[in-house]
Amino acid sequence: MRALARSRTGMVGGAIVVLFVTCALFAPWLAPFDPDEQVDADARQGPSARHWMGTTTLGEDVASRLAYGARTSLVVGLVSVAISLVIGVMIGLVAGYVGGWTDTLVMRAIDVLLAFPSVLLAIAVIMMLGRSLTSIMIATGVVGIPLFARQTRAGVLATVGAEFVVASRALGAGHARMLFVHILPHCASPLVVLATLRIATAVLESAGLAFLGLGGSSILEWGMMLADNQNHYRQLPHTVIAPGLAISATVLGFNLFGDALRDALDPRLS
Amino acid sequence: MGSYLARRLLMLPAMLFAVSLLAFGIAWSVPPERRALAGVEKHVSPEQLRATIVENGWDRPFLVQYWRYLGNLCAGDLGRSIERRSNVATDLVAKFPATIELALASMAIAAVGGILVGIASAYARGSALDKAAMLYALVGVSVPVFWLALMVKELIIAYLSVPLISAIPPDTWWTRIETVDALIAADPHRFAVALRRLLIPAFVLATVPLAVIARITRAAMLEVLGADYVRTARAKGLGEVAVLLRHALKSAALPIATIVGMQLGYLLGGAVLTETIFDWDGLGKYVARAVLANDFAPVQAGVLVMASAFALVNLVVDLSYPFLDPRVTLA
Repeated sequence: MRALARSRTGMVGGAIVVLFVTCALFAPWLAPFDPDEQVDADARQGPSARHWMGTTTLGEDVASRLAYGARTSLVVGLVSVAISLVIGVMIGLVAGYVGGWTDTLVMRAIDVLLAFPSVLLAIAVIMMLGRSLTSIMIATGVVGIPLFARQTRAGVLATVGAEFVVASRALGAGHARMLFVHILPHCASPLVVLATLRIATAVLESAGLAFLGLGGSSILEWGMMLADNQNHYRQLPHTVIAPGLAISATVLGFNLFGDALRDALDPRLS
Repeated sequence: MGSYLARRLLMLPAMLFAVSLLAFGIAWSVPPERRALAGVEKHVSPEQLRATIVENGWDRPFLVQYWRYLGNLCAGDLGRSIERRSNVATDLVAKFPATIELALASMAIAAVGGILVGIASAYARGSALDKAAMLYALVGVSVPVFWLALMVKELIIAYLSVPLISAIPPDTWWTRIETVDALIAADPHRFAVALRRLLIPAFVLATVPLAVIARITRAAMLEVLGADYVRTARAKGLGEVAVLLRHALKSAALPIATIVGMQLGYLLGGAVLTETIFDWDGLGKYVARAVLANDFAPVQAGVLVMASAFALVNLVVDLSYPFLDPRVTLA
């Protein structure tokens, strides 16, 4: 913990993450306006006292849309990483623990999945599932599975020969107990780091997918905001700059925090 | 040669199989009625629709349809675009070269720039240059490339008063890669225009891979620069540049080559996101537009071609290891 606090960039990242999560959680209270409310009289304005980040061509308040967009990004990030983590860890545990042909086959399949360019894989998955925010979450989740599988498997292989593992086996511990009580906790640190960094990537990827229109036309997402306003830069630059900065800052925050976490938890990894 | 070579070569058909399965899955998930309407000019009756469905086997089981799909692929039939009412294979041949051109240009910029920055950072570790470079690397991977493209485009138009040259279809072409065709045509003006058009999108697309390559190069070089033989080379009186390039870089070549190959995957995905913004008439813009129009056949073909190309490039990179580092044998 102290090692974490020693990293200045890590603290900056952590602050950004806290700011992001706060915005996302408290959006209904923080946002000055209803994000979907279109007031024609106020439309097409730059930043002002009333609308801190200006309005869009339809008269929506940009700041409010940004806050609610944080909600979407938080949900997408968490769900996506949850999918990657749960499925990936399961696969990695089984592959590493069982070994042999199971390991080889499973890891070849994982390698194949890893070899896809993530954007293309996500586009394919979403085209199959239909366009929605849920599809984006599932697609980015699927893209992340190989990373967690590989990391877990490596951790299992490193731990499985340790004395305490052999000892507990000798004492009659069953496989499930071995995996979850003894082996998995020792793989946990790199997985936590991976999860943090993966949230960053998931937010970035989902913004891109939303930008392409794969989230459907009615979602409130930063990437979608960019897509809606991309032709209006000349008149309303703030509508393009704001969501882009939001995405960049959030992703940067998670990256900085994740890097600091990695350095603090296991200096060997850096 | 050995089991590594065998395993590595076997990955390619496995990869291509997975790619084809994924691409097929896109079409398979579309309701047969919609598939029957692809590329159809006039109004069709329900009976005609039904006849088309049965004729193409869109009501058959998954494996049967997949087999037909493979057959169509071998015959060069990639389906028709609903929105454009065109033959997808023809579109592909017309548009893929432009994306190849953009990807190669970006890759060149990213590789050369990234390696140079990485070497400089490793060599001047802890200096202002190093810190600035690593800061750039961190920010570079956090910024969405399509936003960067938008901002760069607007800023260049607004502040440099340089209009983005719109594409004028050329009278003659051979490879459909405009810069190469201009060289073949021995037309310096055409080449200059092609190069100017290529530069901005290529630089924007290269930002993230450059950051990643710089980071990896720096890490690899740092590891190597501390080695004994480097110290020996310096003690022998070898100049710094020679030490860096002849000894250190060679040892760092493997991880650098790996990451360069991997970045191609990023560039192909990035092309889908950024080509539209720069009005770059390549496969990326083609796929992006098809995605927006829910037109499945072009997306299917795009995923197939780009993912396969990526798999091939990575195979070539892996097979090049023995040439980069004689200590590595394909065994």
